[in-house]
Amino acid sequence: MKLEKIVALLILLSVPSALADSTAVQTNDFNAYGGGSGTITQSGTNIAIVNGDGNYVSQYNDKDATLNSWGTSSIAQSVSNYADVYGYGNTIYQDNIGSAYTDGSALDAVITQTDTNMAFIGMDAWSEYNLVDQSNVQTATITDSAVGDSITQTLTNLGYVDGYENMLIEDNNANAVSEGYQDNSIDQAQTSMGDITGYYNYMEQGNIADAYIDEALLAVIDQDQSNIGYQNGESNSMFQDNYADADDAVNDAWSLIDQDQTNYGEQNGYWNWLDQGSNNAAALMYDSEESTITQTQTNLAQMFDTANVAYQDNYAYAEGGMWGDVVDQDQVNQLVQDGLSNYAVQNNNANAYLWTDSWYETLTQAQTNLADEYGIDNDAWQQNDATIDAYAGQYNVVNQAQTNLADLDGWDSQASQYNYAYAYPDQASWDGVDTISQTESNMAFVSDNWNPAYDTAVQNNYLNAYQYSDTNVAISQTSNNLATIVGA
Amino acid sequence: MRIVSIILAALMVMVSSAFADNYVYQVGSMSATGTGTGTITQNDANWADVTGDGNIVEQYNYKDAWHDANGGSITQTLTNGAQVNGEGNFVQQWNDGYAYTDSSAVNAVITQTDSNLAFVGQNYYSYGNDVYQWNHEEADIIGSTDQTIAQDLANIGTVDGDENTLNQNTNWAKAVSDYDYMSTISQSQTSLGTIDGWYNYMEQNNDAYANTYSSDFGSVDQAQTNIGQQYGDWNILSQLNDADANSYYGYDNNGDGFGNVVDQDQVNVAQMSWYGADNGVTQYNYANADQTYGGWDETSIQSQSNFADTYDIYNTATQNNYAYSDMNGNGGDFVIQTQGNLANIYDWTWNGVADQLNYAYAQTDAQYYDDSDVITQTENNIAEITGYWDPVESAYQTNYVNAVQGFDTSVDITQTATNMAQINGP
Repeated sequence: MKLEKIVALLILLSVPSALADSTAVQTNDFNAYGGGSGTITQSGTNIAIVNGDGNYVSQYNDKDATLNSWGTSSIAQSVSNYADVYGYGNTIYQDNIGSAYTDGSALDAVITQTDTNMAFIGMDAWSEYNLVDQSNVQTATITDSAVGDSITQTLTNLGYVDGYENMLIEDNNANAVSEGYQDNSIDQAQTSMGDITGYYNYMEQGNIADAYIDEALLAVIDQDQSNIGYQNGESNSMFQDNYADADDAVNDAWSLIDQDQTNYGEQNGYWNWLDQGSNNAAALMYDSEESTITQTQTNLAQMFDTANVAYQDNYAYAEGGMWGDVVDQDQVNQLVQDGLSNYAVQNNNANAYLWTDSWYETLTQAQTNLADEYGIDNDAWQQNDATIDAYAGQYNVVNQAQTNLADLDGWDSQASQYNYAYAYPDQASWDGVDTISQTESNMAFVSDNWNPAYDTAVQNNYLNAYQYSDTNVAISQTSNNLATIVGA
Repeated sequence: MRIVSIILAALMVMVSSAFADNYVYQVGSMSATGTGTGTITQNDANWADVTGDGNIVEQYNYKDAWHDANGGSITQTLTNGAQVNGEGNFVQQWNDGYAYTDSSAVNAVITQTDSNLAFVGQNYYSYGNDVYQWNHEEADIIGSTDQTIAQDLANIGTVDGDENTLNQNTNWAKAVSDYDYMSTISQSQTSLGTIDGWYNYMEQNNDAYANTYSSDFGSVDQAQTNIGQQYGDWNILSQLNDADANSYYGYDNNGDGFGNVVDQDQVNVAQMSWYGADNGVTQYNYANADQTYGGWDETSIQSQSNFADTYDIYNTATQNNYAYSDMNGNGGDFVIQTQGNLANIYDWTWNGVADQLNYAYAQTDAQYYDDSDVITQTENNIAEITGYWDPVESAYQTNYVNAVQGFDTSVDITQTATNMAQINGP
């Protein structure tokens, strides 16, 4: 061994671990192209693992399948992306892309995409200052007057953070497009979960599920999105933006959108911050006929332990088409607090909307808002808006129900609800008879085992129906309001 | 070049007459011709061995066997060696082996075994020696049935000492079977380049070429193993490795081949060993399996394994790995392609670099009317860094997998990949 080398080794051994700066860079690119009908199967596993200090890993994983088919075609893509970091000051970047495309006059084309994205950071107490940044994108496209096509997309995104001052950023995007002629379907399921333990960690997840069908008869979109955030430990922050969009657009008829979005946040431990600042579910039919939208959004924030903050902004939007459509929208919003000095805010908005000049449409909207308090010195704030906007058109039927419950069984806690239901079927001067039916049930319960309990329940409930210029108005409003206090 | 080397070179020029400036020129030629059935056997060993300073050896070794056979066989065995120790020596070797069988051969067999060995500066004091080798091995069979070519080529180059050069300019194995039915080619080429010492340079170009023309139910089985190893300090090793296994143009009236099988394995290793600093290994590795222009029910099986390993400090291993399987003809073809790529940096290293470009491409057809083909591709890519004391290393991998079926009415493509980047620190 030469002298220079010996000296270099001695210097190296004397330098602390801050020098550990290894780099691994991987670009993994898969392409499959078929000029006719048939089958393409792509499966891949992408793994980035770092255990040490000050290291850097970058992975770009791209999978692309294209079929220019004239007959029955099938593309199946299955990908697992995994990032795992321990140690101090490490960085992992992963870009994971899956793209499947079928063109031409495909018959009975099938695209199946299954994607699992997992990121684990600092799963022991000594891991600090690590960063994982994952972008997971899955796209399926079928074009050109296809018949009997189907797209099935399953995207599962899991992020776990432990240790101290680590950071995880995840962008998860599932996109399905079918431009067909008849009997096309999209089945899309996206599940995203963020889990934080430890101290002063940060997690950010952006979850998008997008399904679009154009120019189709008898089309079906079934979309499910579940977004879950768990927090344990102390002084951690988690941000989730969740967006589910199902569009059945342009000249569709006898089609169906079934959309479910569930947003769940749970906090344990101390001084944690959970922000689901944008939970959006949108289902749209622009100028469809005799189609159906069924939309359900469930929003639940639960807090246990001490001095945590949870924030949720929930928005459900359903838009009906031109003629004879049925829109059924359900939104359930719940806050549960059972601990000490926790603070929760929910802004809940359910909006059902009709395309301009729609006829013979039926809108049914139900919003349920629950605030439950069990601990000490907790605050729950809910702003609940349910709106039906049938801007113009004739012979539309609107059914709106809102149920609001504030339930307190603690000490020195507050539940504040502002509940607003608004139905607005038309403003055209010449239109035919529309029907509005509104039902609201408002309940405030305080039942305490403490004496005195010092609990406070505040409810502001508004119910509005408005028919601007119908020649024949039909409005029915029913309301039940109940305030109950049962002391110890 | 270090100052010591420059001074030594200048001194060598100034006092060249003081060195022993011997010169040897040797031509070894062997030729055998047969016109009927029977057997030709040729064995040959060619050595250029130099010890001393400032000597020159040139060798031309040629072997030729020709058979117009009706059931004949040719066996050729060659050993070509060059060994140099001392200072400022120069050796050139041209080694050719050629076997040919023509006309209406039935059950013709050609067996060729070739070993090409070059050892430069095998002691610590060897300095400034140059060895050049050209090694050719070729077997041709034309127009027969059930014929067999078996070819083994081993190329071994070792360099030690200081500022020596070894250039195995061409290690070339070629097997051709033309206008045949149920022919078999089995070809194996192994190339090993090893460097120790300081400031040495080695270059190897390794070509393996196995080809059937106008055949039906033929098979080509080709294996190429290429290993570049580094010890010592400040050395450079460069390898260009090319394996071609092809089946072209069928025998029937339409010129369409039928039922041919090509099985190709290529293993490429670029390795830095446990001791040695500031070394570089560069490999360009090509594996080509082609069955084009009108093949039916053909099968191509291709496997390429690429390893780039580094130890110690400031070493760089660079690999460019290409695997192509091209069946650009008719229908009913099968392609099975596997590529495994490992860039590995071990513990007790510092500032090592492993850089890999890995490319796998499979294409079955471009015909508008063809039948169903099947492509199966599997790729495993691993970039791994392991260090016990704070490694500052870099591993780069760029991996491409492509499958194309141009105009099939029925497409069947399966692609599977596992990609892993892993760093394990102290």
